[in-house]
Amino acid sequence: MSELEIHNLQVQVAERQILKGLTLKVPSGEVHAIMGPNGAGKSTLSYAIAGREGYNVTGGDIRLDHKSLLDMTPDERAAEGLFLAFQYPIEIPGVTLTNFLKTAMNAQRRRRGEEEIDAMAFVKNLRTQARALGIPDDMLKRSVNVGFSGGEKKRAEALQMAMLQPKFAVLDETDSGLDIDALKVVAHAVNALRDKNRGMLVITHYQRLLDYIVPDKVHVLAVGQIAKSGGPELAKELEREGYGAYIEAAA
Amino acid sequence: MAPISRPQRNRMTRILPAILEQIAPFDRLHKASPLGMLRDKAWANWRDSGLPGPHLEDWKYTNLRGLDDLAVTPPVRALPSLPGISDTATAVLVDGVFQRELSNLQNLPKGVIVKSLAQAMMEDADVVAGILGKTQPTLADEKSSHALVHLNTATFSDGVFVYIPANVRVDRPLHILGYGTIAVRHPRILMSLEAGASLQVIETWAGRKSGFTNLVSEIEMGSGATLQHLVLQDEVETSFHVAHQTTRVAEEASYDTFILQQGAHVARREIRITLEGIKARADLDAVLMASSRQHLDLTSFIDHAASQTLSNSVVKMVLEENARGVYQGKILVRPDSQKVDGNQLAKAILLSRTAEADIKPELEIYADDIKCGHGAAVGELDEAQIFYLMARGIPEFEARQLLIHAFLQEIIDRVPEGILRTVTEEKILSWLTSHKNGEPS
Repeated sequence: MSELEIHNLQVQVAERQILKGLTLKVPSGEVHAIMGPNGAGKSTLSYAIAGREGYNVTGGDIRLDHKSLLDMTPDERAAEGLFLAFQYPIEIPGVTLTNFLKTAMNAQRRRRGEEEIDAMAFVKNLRTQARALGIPDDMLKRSVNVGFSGGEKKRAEALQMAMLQPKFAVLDETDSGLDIDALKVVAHAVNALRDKNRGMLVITHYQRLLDYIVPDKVHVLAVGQIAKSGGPELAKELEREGYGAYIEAAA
Repeated sequence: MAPISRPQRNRMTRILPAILEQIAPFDRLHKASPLGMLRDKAWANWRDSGLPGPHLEDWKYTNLRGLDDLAVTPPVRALPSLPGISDTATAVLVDGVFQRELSNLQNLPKGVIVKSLAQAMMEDADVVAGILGKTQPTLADEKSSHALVHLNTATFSDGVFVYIPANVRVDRPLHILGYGTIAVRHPRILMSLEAGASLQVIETWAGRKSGFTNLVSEIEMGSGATLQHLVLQDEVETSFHVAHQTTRVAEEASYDTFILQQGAHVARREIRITLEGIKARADLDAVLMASSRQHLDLTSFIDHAASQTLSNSVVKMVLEENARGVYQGKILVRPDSQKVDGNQLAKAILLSRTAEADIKPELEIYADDIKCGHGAAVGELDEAQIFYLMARGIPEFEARQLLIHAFLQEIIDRVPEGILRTVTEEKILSWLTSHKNGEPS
């Protein structure tokens, strides 16, 4: 079970009100897409869900499986099963991808009272998942995201998601900076994780990604609120018409 | 005309009598010897200068306030168990005095000497005379900066003498453990490596209660010799530690030093490396980790006195709460030293608003066919990196530890594999685990 419920969420960043009452529910097992123009608040939404400092929730709630996330630190939310695939994954010189993943997995297990991961099982699983994503073995020994191309960074995010097996994943503009081949590989990995006990929120600016990760529902985020919700055909409509109407309506 | 006021000379009048009491028996032995003359001159230099401090350019960032207030305590009768390192030969100094019973010098290769310096001054007088006091600062304007070196020369009564004969390779590292129990201790280290000799040394400084360690080390390396030297300054956090080391490196010899400072209330290690022969090289790597009310200073002077010499210095600081870190790095390339490569890099991470790093690079270059560079950077932990780690489930404290460890990894990787690197890793991890690393309480 992993339902994400966002109720009337209001978020301020640097004293500017970015989200002005966002309401959204992603039932367990579903993949929802959020599309919107630049400046609508897409990244703000993903950072607010993850609990980043500086993204101040001034009203409303975010609940995962009926449990409010608002009082939890980002690492506590991760241990609850939340995963955020970053739009711009951060470089961490001096920390290898392997070490990073192992530390993260064990930290989450510890918090949940589970046993630490078996070292050999971890390495085997890591290699398998990496191969499926077209990530060469030597990249696993390199520092996280350092010198990685855009496509490699997004594949590495997908690898982390595959290893951490989250309950709910927020994918923040996963398609930005990807060519069609990389896009297909990442979409394939994301689709492989679709499960009735897992939910996903795919945030994107362009419709193209949604040809590969077909959503159950599409929401339009404009000027800090959900302006319209619909089925996958709403994405096609946006591609044809653009966001203009939604921005005007909100003005 | 009003007289020009001279700065108050702090001659440590409160604790000095205690020091002088300790040296009397030793001095009777060496009254009329060259040592006696050396000491008289040193004493005069000390008296003229008093304690160095910010009134001197070289000590601009470091003052020894509080030194004269240290409580004078009698020597301890029963020692606590000393921090040993397994698989090493050990030479123990307590309050600067060599302890034969506590040392373990079995199975050293033939011809290798590790003994009490006082004993060596009698038994190996010629070798000692060739090094002792030979590389001490003699320039008038440096006299005051090195007043404490003169004080050590005037008052030391023992220390450790290390001699490695030509082409002898010592396989096990030598652990020189300096432990302090009284208020002021003046250890002295003399090392001589003949041509082709090879040695690894771990030098540890620790103590019980507050005190002042005033160390002078003199190291001489013959052609093609190699010395890998790990220094662990781990004094009690209320102690003062001032160390002055001179190292002479002959042609094709290689001196690598790794300095890890974590202890003391105020500590300054000054190291002068003279690259005297063609293709001599020096690597200086240092990590300074300081917390509240700690002031750690590393001052280095690398003198490229020959052609084709190479030096590389990397210094990293981790400063939390109101800690202060200082690095003064000087590189001199003499007029006839061509095809020299001299580089210096210093980076500091400040973990709080009140931490401060002072980095002063100084390059004095007189030759033209050279490659010299320096870099300095002071910053904080990256909030985006911390968030990324936390978003993956790593708690804030561990995230900071991980990032600081990653920052220091470059230096850890330069420490020779084996015991030296293991000990370095352990001490760094131990500090990270027991300190807040900037996490708000």
